[in-house]
Amino acid sequence: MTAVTIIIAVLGITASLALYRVIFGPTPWDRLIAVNLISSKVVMIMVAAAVFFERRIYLDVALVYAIIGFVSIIAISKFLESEDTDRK
Amino acid sequence: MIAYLFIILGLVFIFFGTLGIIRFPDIYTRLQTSSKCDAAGAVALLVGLMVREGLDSLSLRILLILVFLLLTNPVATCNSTLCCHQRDKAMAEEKEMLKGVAD
Repeated sequence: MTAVTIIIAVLGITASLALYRVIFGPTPWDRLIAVNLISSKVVMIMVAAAVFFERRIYLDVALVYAIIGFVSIIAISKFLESEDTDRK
Repeated sequence: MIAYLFIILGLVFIFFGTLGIIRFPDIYTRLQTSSKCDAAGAVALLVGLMVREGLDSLSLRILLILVFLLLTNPVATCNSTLCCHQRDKAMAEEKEMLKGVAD
């Protein structure tokens, strides 16, 4: 049981625990913040894999994944906000 | 040794942040623990990985990802919190108005 196994296992298990909130979340905002959490955990898994397996290309993938996650979170939150104001 | 200390600290923050996401009753408490998990946990974990790697082009790229996460995650959390607060305020006003009509 090496260190990278423990790190990736803890991050993966907590990501799948956050998936509970994505599936059973009462409001769309709960689902949104849980998806944000899972996306940042995937970035951390990629950085850990890049450091421990000596694969530099994983870091570029992690950076692009972080950028796409941020843009999608902002876009979905603007969409939900406009839906609220339309209903009002 | 110091690197693994930082990594364990980050994993503890991440675990309890996710526990808060599951267990907390309200959207605002969930936003609070989610932002803590993102900021403290990710920063501690990535700093630990940087210390383990040493001064390198790889650790500079990890620093880039760290700064990007530190810039963007609070922005996303703040945006969600503001939208939730506006929605709750609008619903409370609507309820107040309906109560006035019923009276």
